[in-house]
Amino acid sequence: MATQLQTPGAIGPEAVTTRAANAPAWLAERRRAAWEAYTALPMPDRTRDEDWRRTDIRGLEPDEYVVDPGPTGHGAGLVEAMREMRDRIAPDAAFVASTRNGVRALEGAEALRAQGVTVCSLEDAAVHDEAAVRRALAHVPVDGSKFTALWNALWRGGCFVHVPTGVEAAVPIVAAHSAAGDHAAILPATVVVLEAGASLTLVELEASPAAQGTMLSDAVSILHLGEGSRLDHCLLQRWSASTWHLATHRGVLERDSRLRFFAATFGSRLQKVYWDALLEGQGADATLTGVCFGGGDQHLDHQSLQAHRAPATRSDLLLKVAVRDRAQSVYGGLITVDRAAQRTDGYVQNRNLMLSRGARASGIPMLEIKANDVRCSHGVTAGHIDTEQRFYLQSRGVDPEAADRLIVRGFMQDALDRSPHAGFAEFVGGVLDEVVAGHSAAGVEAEGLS
Amino acid sequence: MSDSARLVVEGLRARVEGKEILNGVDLVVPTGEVHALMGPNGSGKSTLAYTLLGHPNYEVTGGSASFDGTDLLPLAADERARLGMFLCFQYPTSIPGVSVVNFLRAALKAQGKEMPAREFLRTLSAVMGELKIDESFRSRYINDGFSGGEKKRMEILQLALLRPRLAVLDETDSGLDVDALRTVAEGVDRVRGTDMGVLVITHYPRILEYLRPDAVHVLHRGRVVVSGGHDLARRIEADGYDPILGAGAGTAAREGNP
Amino acid sequence: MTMAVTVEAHELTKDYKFGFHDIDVSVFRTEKGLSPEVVAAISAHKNEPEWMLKFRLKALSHFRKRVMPSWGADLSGIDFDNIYYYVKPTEEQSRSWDDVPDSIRQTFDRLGIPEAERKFLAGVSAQYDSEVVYHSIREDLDKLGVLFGDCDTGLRDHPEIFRKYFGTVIPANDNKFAALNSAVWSGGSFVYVPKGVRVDIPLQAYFRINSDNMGQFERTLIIAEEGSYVHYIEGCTAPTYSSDSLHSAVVEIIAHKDAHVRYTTIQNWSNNVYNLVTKRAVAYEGARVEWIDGNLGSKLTMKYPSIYLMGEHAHGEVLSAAFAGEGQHQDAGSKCIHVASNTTSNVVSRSISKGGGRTSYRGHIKVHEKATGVRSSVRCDALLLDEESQSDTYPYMDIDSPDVSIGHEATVSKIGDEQIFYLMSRGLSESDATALIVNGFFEPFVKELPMEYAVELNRLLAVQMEGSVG
Repeated sequence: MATQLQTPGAIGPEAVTTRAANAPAWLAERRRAAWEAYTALPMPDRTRDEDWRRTDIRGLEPDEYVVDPGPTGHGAGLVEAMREMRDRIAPDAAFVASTRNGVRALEGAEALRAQGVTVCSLEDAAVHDEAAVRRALAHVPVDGSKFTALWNALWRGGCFVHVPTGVEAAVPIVAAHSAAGDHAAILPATVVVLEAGASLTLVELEASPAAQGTMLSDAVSILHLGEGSRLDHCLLQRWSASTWHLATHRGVLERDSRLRFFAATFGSRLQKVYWDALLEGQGADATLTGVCFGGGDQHLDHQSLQAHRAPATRSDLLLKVAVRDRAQSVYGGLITVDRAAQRTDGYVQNRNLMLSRGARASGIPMLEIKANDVRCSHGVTAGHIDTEQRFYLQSRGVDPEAADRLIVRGFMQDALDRSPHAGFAEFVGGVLDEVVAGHSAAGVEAEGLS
Repeated sequence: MSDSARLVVEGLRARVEGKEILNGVDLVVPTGEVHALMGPNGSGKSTLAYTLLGHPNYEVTGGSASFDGTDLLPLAADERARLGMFLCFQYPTSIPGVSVVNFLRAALKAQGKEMPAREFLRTLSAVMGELKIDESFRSRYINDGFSGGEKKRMEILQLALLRPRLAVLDETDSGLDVDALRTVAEGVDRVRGTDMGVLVITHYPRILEYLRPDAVHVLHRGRVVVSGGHDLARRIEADGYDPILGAGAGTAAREGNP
Repeated sequence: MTMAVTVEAHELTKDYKFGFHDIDVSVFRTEKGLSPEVVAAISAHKNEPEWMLKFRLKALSHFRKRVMPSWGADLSGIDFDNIYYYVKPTEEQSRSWDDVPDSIRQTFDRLGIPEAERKFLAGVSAQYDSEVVYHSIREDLDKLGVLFGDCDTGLRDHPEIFRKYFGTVIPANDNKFAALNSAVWSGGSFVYVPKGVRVDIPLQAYFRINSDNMGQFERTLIIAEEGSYVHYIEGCTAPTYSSDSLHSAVVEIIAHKDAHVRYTTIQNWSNNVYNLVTKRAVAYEGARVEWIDGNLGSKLTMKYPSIYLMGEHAHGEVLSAAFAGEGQHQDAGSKCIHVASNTTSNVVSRSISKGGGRTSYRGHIKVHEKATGVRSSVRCDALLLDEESQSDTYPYMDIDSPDVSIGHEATVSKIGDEQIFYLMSRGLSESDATALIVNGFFEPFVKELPMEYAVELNRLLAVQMEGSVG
C-alpha cells in the first residue's frame, strides 16, 4: 500500500514520529529502532514459523488500523464502562484506564502513593522513573518478534506500577485497556516493577464493544518481580469478536519471588498470546492459570514458556478450554530446565472440553530438560460432555442448555479456584455463564460509546 | 549381655534438611529382646529408624551407633542390611516394573542367603500363606498399587525371608485394622525366635499386647527420656504422655533399662 | 572365497559386542555418491522393470528438492557424497546357511541368528549391506501361501501384489529420507499373509551393515490380508567405524480388515550410524497394528512409527523404549492418525538418558473431523541418570472432532532416592539397585518381547548401565 494513501493516524512511520516527538530521547530512539525492526521482520508464517503453524493471520493488514484517532473519540463512555467492571471486581482498587488517546482516568491511588508506590502512565514513568522503566522494557527487546516490535514502537498511555522495597500495596490496582471504532488499533501497555519483598495485586482488563467493525490489539505486560516479592496478576480478555489480539505477558522472577497469574480469555476473532514465566532466581515460583471459552469462529491461541534458569524453582500451569461451534483452541507450551536448575518442579496441564461438532483443539506441551534432579510433567486431555452427566441433570428437570452451562462451569471450577483474587474469580465465573448462554464475549456495552 | 549381638546407640544426634531432630539418643537393644520405642508425634521416632538404617538424607552430627560391635555410621544402607539390620518401612515405596519375586531373589542374593529356586518358591508360598498374601502378589510390582495393609504385609514377608538379626518396625501397626494387625504381629512373633532383636516404633500400645516387649522407651524432643517395662506402655495408654513427660522430661530416667 | 573374520579392537567398541567387521567381500558396488547414474546402475543391476527405474529417478529428484529437516536432531554430519549407496555382498541369495560365504555366515553365527532360527522362528531373512544373503520360511507357511522374502524378490516374482501396495503408504515424496530410500532401496522384506492365515511364531529379519561409509536402504512391505496375523521382528547391528554410516529404511504395513500385525524392532546399531527411518502402517476396519520399538544403538535415530486408523474399530499400539548414552541422540516417537470412527490408540514410551545422551519423544495424535468415538492414550516417562543428560518431549495433539477421549501424560525425573534407599535397605548395592529400577522402568516394553529377546535386551541394558553409579 502506498504511503501517501495511508489513513491519518494509521500504523505507520508518521505515528512513530509523533510518538517519538513526545518521548524522552532514549525512548524516542527505542521507538524508532523498534519500528525499523518491525518493518524488517516478516509477518509470522504458518509454514515457516513452528509456533504459528496452527494459527493463520494472513487476513491481518496492520497498517489499515488507526492508533491515533485524533481529537474525536475521547472514550468517556468506554472509561465509564470499564470503571463499572472495576466496581464489580474490586471496588477498593485504584483504577488506571487507557484508550487510544492514552491514560483517561487515574483514580483511587492515594493510599498507594502514601506508601511510596508509583502509579502512573508508562509515558510519565519514562520521564520520572526512567531507570525502572528501562530495566523493565529490556525484558521485551525491540526486535523480539513482529508484534512486540510493533508494540515497542507505538504503545501509548499504559499503566506503570513501581512498588518500593518491602511495601505491601494497600489496595489492588485495576489497569483497564479499551478501544472502540472501526479499524481501531490499541497497544495496551502494563509494566509492574516490584522491589525486594514488595507485594501487589494487579487486575488487567481488556475490553471493547461488540460489532464496531474490525479492531487490532497488540498488548504487552512486563512484570518484574524482585527478590522475595509477590505479585498476583489477573487478566481478563473481552475484545469484540472482530478483534485481532496479539499479546505477550512476561514475568521475570528473581530469587524467592512468587507470581500467581490468572487469565480469562473470552473475546477476539483471533488471539495469539504468549505467557512467559522466566524463573531467573533460586526458589522462584510461578503459578499460571487460564480459563478460556471460544464460540462462533473464534481462534484462540495460547503459548506458554516456563523457563527454569535457577535451582529449586517451581512452575505450575493449568489451562482449561471449552470450545463450541466452529471455534478452535491452540495451546503450545514449553517447560525448559537449564543444567543449573536442579531441584526444579515444572508442571503443565491443558484440559479441553469439546462442545460441538466443528470445534477443534490442539495441544502441544513440550519439555526440554537438562537437569536430572527434577520433577516435570505435563498432561493434555480432550473430551466432550458426558451424556450421562447431561441426562442426570435433565432427569432433575434442568433443560439441556442449563445443564451444559452447569457442566462447563463445573469443568472450569478448579481453574477458577486458583484465581488469586476472589472478586475476579466471581466476576469471571459470571461472564463465563453469560458467554456459555450465548451472550457476546465483548466486554462493554455498545451504547453511548465513541 | 554385652557379648551377644546387639544395637548400641549412644548420644546419637542427627538432622534432616538442616533441622536437628535427634539430640542425643541412648538406646541398647540386645539380641532376642523386643524393645518398644514410643513418643508423641514429632519426637524423632522415624528419624531414629532412618538414621540407624543409613538413609542419605539423615545426617549424623554426633554420638555413635554400633551393631554387634561394628560401627554403623560409616556404612551405606546396603552394608547395614548385610550386617543383619532390617527396616519395616512406615511408607514402603513402590517400584513399578520390578516384580516381587525378582526383588526378593535379588535381595537374598545380595545378602548371601540365596536358596535353590524350588526351595525359594516353597518358602515363599508358605510365608505368603501365613501372612494371608495372595499368590498373585508374586508377579506384581513392588508395592505398586498395593493397599496400606498389603504393603505392611509385604514388609513382614521380607522380614520372614531375609531373617535379619535386628528388625526395626517403623509404625508397622499404623493404618491396620484389628485382623490385619494380628496377622502382622503374629508374623513378627513367628519370625523372631531367640536370635533376633526387635525395635518396635509405635504410637499405639495395642501391637505391644501381641509382641510383649522386654522394655519400653519414650522418645521426646530427640532423646530417650523414660524407659521402663511393658507397664510403661500401659500407663501411656491410660494417661497419655503428659504425666510421664511432665515428670521425666529432660532427666532421662532409666527405670530398669538393661 | 574363505575370508577370516577380523576383529578390530577399536576403543569405541568396548561396550558394544557387535562392533567387529569382516573384510570386504563385496562382489559389486556402485561408485561413492548419489547421481541418476548410480540410481540407474542399481536398477539395471537388479534387472528391474521400467516403472521401478522411473519411480527411483523421480524419488531422487524429490530427494534433491527437499531441504534437510530443520527440526529435531543435528543432521549436519551426514555427507551424502561420501557414501556407497549399493554394496552387493554375494552373487546369490541362499536358502541354506551352508551356501552363505564363510565370513558372512560366521558373522551371523556370532550374532546368533541361525541358532535363533532353529529355536523359535518361523522364517529368517538376513541382509548384509545392500542384499539379503539368506532367507528361509517354514515349509507349512510356504504351503499356506505366506510369502516372506526380500523386496527385490517380491517385485520380481509377485508383481501383481507388489505394485498394488508398494509406495502407497509412504509415497516417494513423503520426506527427504523416504525419498532417498525410494531412489536407492535394496533388500528388506516382502511379507504377504493370505486371508485368515495366522503365522503363530515370529518371522525375523536381521540387518547387518559391514562396509565402511555404507548406506543401507532396505525396504519392507508387509501385507496382512483379512483376519490374518503376523509378528515380524527386526534386529540390526553394524561394525564400529570411525566414519559414519547411514541407515535409512522405509517400512510400509497394510493391515486389512481384522488383521493383526505386530512389528518388533530391537535397534542396536553401533554408535556411528545415522538411523533415519520412516515406518507407517494403515489399519482398516477392526485391524490391529502394534509397533514395539526399542532403540538402544546408533549415533542418531529419528524414527516415528505411525498408524493411520482408516477403518472403524481399528486399534493402534506403539510401545517404545529408548536408551541414549554418551554421544547418542534418540529422537523417537509415534503418530496415530484417527481417520475413522471408534478407533483407538495407545502409546507408551519409556526413555533413559545417561552420560550426556539425549532422548526426545516426538509424537502426533490427530483426530479427523468426521471421526467419532475416538479414544487415545499417550504416556511418556523419561529417566535422567545424571546431570549431563537431556530429555525432551514434543507431543502434538490435533483434535478436530468433539466425540473423543484423548489423554497425554508425560513425566521426566531421576531415579527416586526413596526407591534406591528401599532396595539398599534390603542389602542391594547402589549399582544393583539402580540396574533393577532401570529394568523395571523398561518392563512394560520388555514384557512384550519374545523371551529370548527380553533376555538379550536386559543383557544389553546391563552393559549400557555398567559404571553408571559412583
